[in-house]
Amino acid sequence: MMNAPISRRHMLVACAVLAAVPSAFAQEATEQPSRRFMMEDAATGNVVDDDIMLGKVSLLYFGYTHCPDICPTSLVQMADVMKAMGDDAKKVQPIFVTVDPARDTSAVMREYVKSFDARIVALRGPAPYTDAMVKAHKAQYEIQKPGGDDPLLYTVDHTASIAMVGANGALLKRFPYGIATAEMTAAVQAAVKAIPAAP
Amino acid sequence: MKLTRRALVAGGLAAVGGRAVARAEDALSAAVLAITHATPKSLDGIAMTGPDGPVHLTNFRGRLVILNLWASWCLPCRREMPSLSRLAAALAGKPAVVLPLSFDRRGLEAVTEFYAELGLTNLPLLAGDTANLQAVNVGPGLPATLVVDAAGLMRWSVTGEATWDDADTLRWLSGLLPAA
Repeated sequence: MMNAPISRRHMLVACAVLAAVPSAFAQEATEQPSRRFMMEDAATGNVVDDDIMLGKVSLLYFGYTHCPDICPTSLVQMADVMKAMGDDAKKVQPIFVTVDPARDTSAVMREYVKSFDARIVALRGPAPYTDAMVKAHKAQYEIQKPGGDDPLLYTVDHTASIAMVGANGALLKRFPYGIATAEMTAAVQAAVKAIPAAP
Repeated sequence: MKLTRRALVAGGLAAVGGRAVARAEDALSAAVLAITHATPKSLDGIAMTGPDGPVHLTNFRGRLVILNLWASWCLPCRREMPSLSRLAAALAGKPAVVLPLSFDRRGLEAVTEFYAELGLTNLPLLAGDTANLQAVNVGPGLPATLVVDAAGLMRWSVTGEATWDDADTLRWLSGLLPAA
């Protein structure tokens, strides 16, 4: 079933498998926190890991679909960069990770990213998995519950920059909110050019 | 000459201080560390005391306020303060103000000494109150910098040490300035 919810057991089994496989990012393990992750791809319901970034330049954004202004603006910009990249866009992996998995179901995420660019991979996972991924990429978030009767009425404070991760898993740059799209595109183009040719 | 424990501690602190100045340039840009707050919060309840008595955030309505919570005993705070001073210089003449709010037991005396030590002359002297800070619940630890819009609402924040005068941060803050 396309939209099956991800179970804790799936996550744990996949985690054990991942732990046994040498990480593509192992080279930086001694110097940087591991950026390995395991999340649900909202488009397919499958568990994916950092292999989806392997060999590509990734643009990574942590946000949530109820985000009133900053997230849509950032995702529009991500989509604009993808368009500007032309054929080289296939070497770029845009990723949107929700920091609000409670409200952002796979169905919600799937529809949300489609409205920006269908190439954006939407990831969600249980809070501990989300937390690990957020921390590994040096981002932050905090749920702000105002109180009141509706437990689903809240906002999330979160890092607004977009991270660019190189083909080897290294965190290359973080684009601040409001950066010019042309400047961002130029940086992504340069990173794509630096991808080593396949043997 | 015999090397005393006191001399060693002083030398160690000096060495840490020297290294700290060098490391300040390495801190990440505030613009990339910035956290957006979808539910803006009023910080009008925050208590500040200047040389002439209480200072209220409402005094700065109509201006973008960069409110830096710091203390002279906090090493990362010390490291980032020169870049906040340079930010204040870059924002001079614009509808914006940098307010470093110190949380030192010695109050403004500690701030005055620290500014003199670093030769900072363009930042206001402001002392905060720890119990008040907890009461207004504005984030964990020092340093923390809160970006308050012209209406007095906190829209952005940066926790931890950052560089405040790099091109990305100047561009980001310029975009937040109220319209003339």
